[in-house]
Amino acid sequence: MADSFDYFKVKKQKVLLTILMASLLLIFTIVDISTGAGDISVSEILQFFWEPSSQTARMSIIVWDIRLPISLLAILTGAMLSAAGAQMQTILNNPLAEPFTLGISSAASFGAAMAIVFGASAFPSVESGLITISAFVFSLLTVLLLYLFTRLRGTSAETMVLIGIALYFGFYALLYMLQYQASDAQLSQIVFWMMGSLGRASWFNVTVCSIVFFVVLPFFIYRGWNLTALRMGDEKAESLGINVKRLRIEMLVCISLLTATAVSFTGTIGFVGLVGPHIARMLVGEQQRFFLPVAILAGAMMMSLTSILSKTITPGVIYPIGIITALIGLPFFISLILSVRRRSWH
Amino acid sequence: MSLTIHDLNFAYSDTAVLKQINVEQLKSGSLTVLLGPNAAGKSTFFKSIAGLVNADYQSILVDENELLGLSTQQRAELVCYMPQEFSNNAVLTVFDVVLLAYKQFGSWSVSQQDVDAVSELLAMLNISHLAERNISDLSGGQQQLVSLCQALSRDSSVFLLDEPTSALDLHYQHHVMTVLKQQVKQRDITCIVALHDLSLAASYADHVLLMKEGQLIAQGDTAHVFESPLLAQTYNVEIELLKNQYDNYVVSSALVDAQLSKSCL
Repeated sequence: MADSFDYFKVKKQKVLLTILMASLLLIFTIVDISTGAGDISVSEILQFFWEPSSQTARMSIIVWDIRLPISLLAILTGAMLSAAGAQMQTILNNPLAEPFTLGISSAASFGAAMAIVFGASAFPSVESGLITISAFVFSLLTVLLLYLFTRLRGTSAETMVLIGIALYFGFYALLYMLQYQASDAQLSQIVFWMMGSLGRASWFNVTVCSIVFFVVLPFFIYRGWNLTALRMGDEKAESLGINVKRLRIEMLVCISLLTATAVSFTGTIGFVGLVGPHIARMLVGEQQRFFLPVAILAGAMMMSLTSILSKTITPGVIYPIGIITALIGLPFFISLILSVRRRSWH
Repeated sequence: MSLTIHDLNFAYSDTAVLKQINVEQLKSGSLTVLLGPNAAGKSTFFKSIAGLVNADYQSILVDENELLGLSTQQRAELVCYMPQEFSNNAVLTVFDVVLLAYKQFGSWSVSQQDVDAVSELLAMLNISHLAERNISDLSGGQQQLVSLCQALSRDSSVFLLDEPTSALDLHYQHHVMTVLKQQVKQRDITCIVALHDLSLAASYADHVLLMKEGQLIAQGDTAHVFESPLLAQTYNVEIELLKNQYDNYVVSSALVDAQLSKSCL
């Protein structure tokens, strides 16, 4: 073929970029584990993993029981929210969409607030578990409502966004009502929950997030070409033989599972799900084979970096991660917008 | 291979858009042109066959295969429809765009064979040089060629192309029609192309379908339809049929009301 375009060369560049990002993520993770109260250096962490025989009891507790679950939960929630955001932007054909666009965050917050206000007094011993479960149940409830509405009114992107916004405001109204009635202690607990935090990380959380993530991922991969085609519009996708309605609902369920799981363990963490996909889009375009892995890595990197920062801004204080995400993501995102031309959403 | 349609009807709420359309066996290997004024129902006719709208019909046969009851994907394997427009704000290269049509329902990975197939399609329409460009950066005509490439990447038996030349310059209009004619013969497929340009239609069509107000008012070989007074009546113009030195029909047309056309000048 006489043309100069070499697909495999471009592919190689994109694969190299993905490997580079994965390596950076690994470095971030090691730094993240070494950061925090307790003065552990990066080299000690490396030695800890390299030579298990050298592990002291103190190090074991700090690394295995505290630091590692936090780091892994950061990576997982970043990956989940960014993957969910990427597909939400795809199915809604909207660059402003994110995992919380369709009201999941407000429903989760309402669920958590319900548990804090009513559940905690009734079952004080299982309070944190109750908050998680209630947040999860209410997030999935929005999906069910959304699904019922789309059965009545069709699955066009516009319909879904409009219903999502209605749900978003609806649950916020209910949330405010609860907050109005809550005691001062409950109120501060609700606000703290909504800020998003990795403080509740545990191996149980990490395991559940991993399972959900790796169960949903194959669906995204299986639908990869369909999702890429959907970016060319509903009619084009349908003309290529895609059942757009089914695809949207399928993806909506996947996105909701990812988001609801992440949110119920960490509280609402904004920005990652919006910006992660945009970074991926600017770097590798929207062919899902590259878009999805790069979006996942970008989200995971952002959260990992956020986790490091949340511990280092004020020594001894761990800031809620939801506050930091936007602060670190924003400058990077703006520099990308300014430096990479013509690769963004038009 | 062939396409046969029995009693196709479609209505948007209360407005009938397609009325009792019957198409006699359209044989493969020949190029059919669908003509008709604006809002005659051409696009809806295509969408009904492709299954993009829920039309009411007795039967649509592609060879021996009845389309009624097939899933969207099964239907797309038999019928490839190219819509007039598509959303072009995606961050995808031209190569990606054709590749996604070619790989739809294929595996996640891309092989050398896939790349060769896409490169060949781009070369066929002379747009290899655009491969790396972003789809949103192209002109309307270039986007139309990419869209046609997508359609031709499909391995269907019936192709329904909705005005594939509307944004193209003269050279590309002829290039596209020539490529289509070749492909129709080479792949032995049934191809219906909706066109507005009567001269282009007359030069390339083997067979013509003429629609007006949701009805199929004439069908037959090109000479038969072009020489009937129906064509002029349908478009409400005066038509003169000439033959050029290449033995192609050239259609000269003017508004029926000569007074009106003069007053506009």
